[in-house]
Amino acid sequence: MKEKWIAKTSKWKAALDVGLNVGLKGGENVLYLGASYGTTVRQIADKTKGIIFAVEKAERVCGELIKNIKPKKNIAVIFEDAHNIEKIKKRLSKTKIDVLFQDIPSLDQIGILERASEIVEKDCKILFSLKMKSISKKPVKEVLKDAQKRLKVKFKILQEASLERWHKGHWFFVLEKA
Amino acid sequence: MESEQIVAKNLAESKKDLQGAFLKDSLIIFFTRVIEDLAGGGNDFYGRLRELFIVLDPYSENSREDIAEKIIKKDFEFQGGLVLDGDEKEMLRKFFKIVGEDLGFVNVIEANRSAKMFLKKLNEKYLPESSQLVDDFLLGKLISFFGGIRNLHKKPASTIQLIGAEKSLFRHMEKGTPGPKYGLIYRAVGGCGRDARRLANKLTIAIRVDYFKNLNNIAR
Repeated sequence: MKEKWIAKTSKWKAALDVGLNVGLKGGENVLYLGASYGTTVRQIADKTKGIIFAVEKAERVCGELIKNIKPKKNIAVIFEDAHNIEKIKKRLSKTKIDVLFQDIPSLDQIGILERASEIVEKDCKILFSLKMKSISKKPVKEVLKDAQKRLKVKFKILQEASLERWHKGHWFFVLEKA
Repeated sequence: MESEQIVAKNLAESKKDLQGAFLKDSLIIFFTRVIEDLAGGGNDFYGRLRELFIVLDPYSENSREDIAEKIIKKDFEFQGGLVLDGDEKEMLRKFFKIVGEDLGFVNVIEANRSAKMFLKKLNEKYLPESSQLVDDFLLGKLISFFGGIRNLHKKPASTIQLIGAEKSLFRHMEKGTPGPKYGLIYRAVGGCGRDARRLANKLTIAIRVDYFKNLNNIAR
């Protein structure tokens, strides 16, 4: 029986349900930073014929990820910290990345995105899930304003929306390199 | 390179890196948590056994039936997880003789005694400097608090001094009550703040020495 893709467990699906332009056409290669147990990665693997590079740094979680994605043939698991973007670049084997997705709830998630964007081309679509509580305990509006200001330096914000309905304190951006 | 080759190459490299990333402190954490659970009562250890078998055999199902079968076999020749040496396999074989089919202990007193003995052996082997400063259970608790020595060795002495005193610490930060002087290491210093500070300072250095000498088996 095919597993259901629900917004409550997937930021990508939540962004889709909110109306953002995050769908796949069918041939994209995806670099997925923060793959976790593979809930969303498994769903995306059915939507594209390209390769999905699933990056995860935690040992126990990566073991479960490898187990969960077994039936899919187009998911390349990379056990590496997303900070080490040069090591990740080597693992891509010169594959062109069409979509960069990041869902890493850490203090320097914007810094990670900035470094990761250096290994993709200008026409790459960048999908970024921002968890505001991970950055600061300040009011959410203030954190969001600072984040938007910082993102505008290196990126062009094409679309953005709140995922509050399913994921408290999360904001989703569709970006491209400036 | 063809996409199938890229996928296969990445999977092989990730599995190899993953095997090197598991550390022997998983065994120390396992025995510490078993001792703690035995003190609290209850006799269903599926959760703790699953935590251990995820490290030993990460690509298996690790359900109740799966783990019960592995314990009966006593093989421990798994693919992809933490590599055990002969002594460690023998240790686990002896320990699992006390585990029943329902994944509870047949003899709780014997389980407690064995867990303490194996914890002592592991600490002497992998944490020789730290185990001279504090007792085995306390050392295990400090490591398991942060989920492993890879996280613990980065912490400053002031954090190690106050592990376990979070309620008092946050009350001090929010309401201005007097701050805590010691947390779990109270067991080792018996109520003296100055000794707690000195012990935490020495323990921090000892943990770092042990980590870099004995446990850090992969440059990441």
